[in-house]
Amino acid sequence: MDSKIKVPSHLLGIEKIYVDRTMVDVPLTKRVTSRLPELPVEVVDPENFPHDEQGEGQSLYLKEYKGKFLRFCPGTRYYHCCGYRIIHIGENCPMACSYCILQAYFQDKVLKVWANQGNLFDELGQAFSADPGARFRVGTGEFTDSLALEPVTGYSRDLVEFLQDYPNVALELKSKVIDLSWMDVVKRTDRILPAWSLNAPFVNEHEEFGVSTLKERLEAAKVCAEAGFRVCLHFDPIIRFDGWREGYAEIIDMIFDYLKPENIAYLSMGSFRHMPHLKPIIERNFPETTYIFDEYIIGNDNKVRLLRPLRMRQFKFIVDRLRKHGMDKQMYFCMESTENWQDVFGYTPKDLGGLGKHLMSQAFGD
Amino acid sequence: MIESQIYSFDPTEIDCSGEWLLYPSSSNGDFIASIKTIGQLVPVLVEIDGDTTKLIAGRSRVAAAKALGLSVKAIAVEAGDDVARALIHLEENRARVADDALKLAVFRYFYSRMDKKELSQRVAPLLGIKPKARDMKLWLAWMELSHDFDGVLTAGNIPLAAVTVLSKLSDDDKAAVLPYFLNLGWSRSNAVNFLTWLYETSRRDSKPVATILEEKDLPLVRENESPKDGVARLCKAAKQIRYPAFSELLKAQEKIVSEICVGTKWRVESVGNFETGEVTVQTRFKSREVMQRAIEDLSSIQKSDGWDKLFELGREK
Repeated sequence: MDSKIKVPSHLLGIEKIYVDRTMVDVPLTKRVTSRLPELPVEVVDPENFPHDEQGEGQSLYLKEYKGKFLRFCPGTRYYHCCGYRIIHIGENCPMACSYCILQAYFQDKVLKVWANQGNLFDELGQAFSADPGARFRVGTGEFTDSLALEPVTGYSRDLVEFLQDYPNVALELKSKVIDLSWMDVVKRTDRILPAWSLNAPFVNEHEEFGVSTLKERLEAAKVCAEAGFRVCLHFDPIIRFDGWREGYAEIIDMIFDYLKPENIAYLSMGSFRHMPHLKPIIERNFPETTYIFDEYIIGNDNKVRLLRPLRMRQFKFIVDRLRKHGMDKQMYFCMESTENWQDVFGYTPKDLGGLGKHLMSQAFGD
Repeated sequence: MIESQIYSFDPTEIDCSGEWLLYPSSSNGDFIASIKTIGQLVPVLVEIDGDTTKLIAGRSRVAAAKALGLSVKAIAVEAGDDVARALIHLEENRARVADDALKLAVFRYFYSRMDKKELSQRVAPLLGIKPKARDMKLWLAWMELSHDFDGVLTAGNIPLAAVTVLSKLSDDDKAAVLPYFLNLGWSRSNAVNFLTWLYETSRRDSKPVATILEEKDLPLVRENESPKDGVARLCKAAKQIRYPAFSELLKAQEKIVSEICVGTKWRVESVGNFETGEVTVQTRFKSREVMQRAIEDLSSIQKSDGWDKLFELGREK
């Protein structure tokens, strides 16, 4: 397991490994350096990390993280948040999607991995065992892709093994690549939720780079479903482009070539939204991208989002199509208002007992 | 580099034609009167090159001496080349206010003679611009433009900040928008918004700006229209082109509100860009009598059917 690997294409841009001096001897460092033996390794003190030496190439930084590992997803009071909890395992992503908020969060190409897994597991263990009756729906795909670095770090595999002792926790592994190397250590398939982002083929082809194809993602989802997992799917961000109806219809129909509705624990939909300062970053990094010039307004959370009737038309179209395939209460909106829920779904999160509670039930298969 | 000796020249002996004399002459009646009354207090700077005496700084003093038939006091400097001459000229004029026209002339002069880093570090401070200031980035971007827009910048019709959008436009698109700045003076926000809305529409619709301008009919001027009204009209039109659905909602809102509030002083506005259907209702009063009238008006207009339409604006049921 811990010897040299065939590096997948999305990780070929990594040119160097940095390791915090305090993390030199931890298991994760040994694993990563043994799997990428050709890469130069530099031991650094965090306060002297050589930010100025970072060029166009990517680097992997095995870091001692001193903050909170278990966090709340940042929601706002105007729009309904799904209430999922974040397990913070690292920052940044080796792939390049034009719409990705991580471009605004992280200006460099340093892929940070929290190498002090012992601290992470200590904190998680305390949180998850404090009240065994309390359930947690957690995921690692907020500040990074859950599985992008898995071939070299094995992080999700470690996490899956760790969570075997916590049946009150459902872990979602959300990704745009295919890595199922964690599957063989899973003891309870009903507590792990493999998840993939989906989009219209046009968006996948023109706005997502270094990622797997939609077909590959759905094939992987099928493998998981056949192995007894329920999967999660995420249409986020939904984007308008010429022919968006045909595009979203195509991917929706495609889902059910691979999966049955009962294989899907939940499916989220979110219209493209972002902090205002992301737009010039997208314009600079992806000069061919044009959806950023659609009709956006500043929403009640001070984020830029598509004008309400325009995004409602997209939501209605997508939800109608999904319903025709048998999808029902697994569908939810990421950050939409009660009124918009009512107009599209015909019910509100309150009717479901609250979105967080509803998705907890969906995640645990109640 | 600078001699301490003060020379005296006949003004006709001094060559004042150097391209490095970038600041305009400020000679006027008051200045000439001052020289006549008090005399020349500060020597001009010259470079003596064989038989030629080149003026480096002090054109107004030379002109005044010439007008008064006086000799000119001068200090000799050794510059060596045109860049050094211009740098000394700027240094000598540092106390003067540099407007955009002057800055443009200065940056154009140096841009072909030194690299961008040197331009930022050596020239910009002489014009009161910090090397890493946003304005310096804008000037460097402007240097990348052809000279077509220099005239409208010099005239004060277009702000320097417009370069952020101009630099994204194709040559044809730049040519299409230039006429809008030839005779109208635009504020910074109006110019940047107008150009941004056109550029973004062009990107969104995959059409040249020139085509959009033709299709949407944005005439440069209208009869009896003031320049201020002209700019306002063009900005409004460009915004409608850029945000057609939002503009339709605003139009619908305006119609409904005018029906609801007719005959009253109440104002009703949707808030939050049609995200929630919420509105604000407001009026002003400064007496009990007017307040009472406003309350009665509110009581009356609250019965209007228009409110239901207003609350639903933006919804897609």
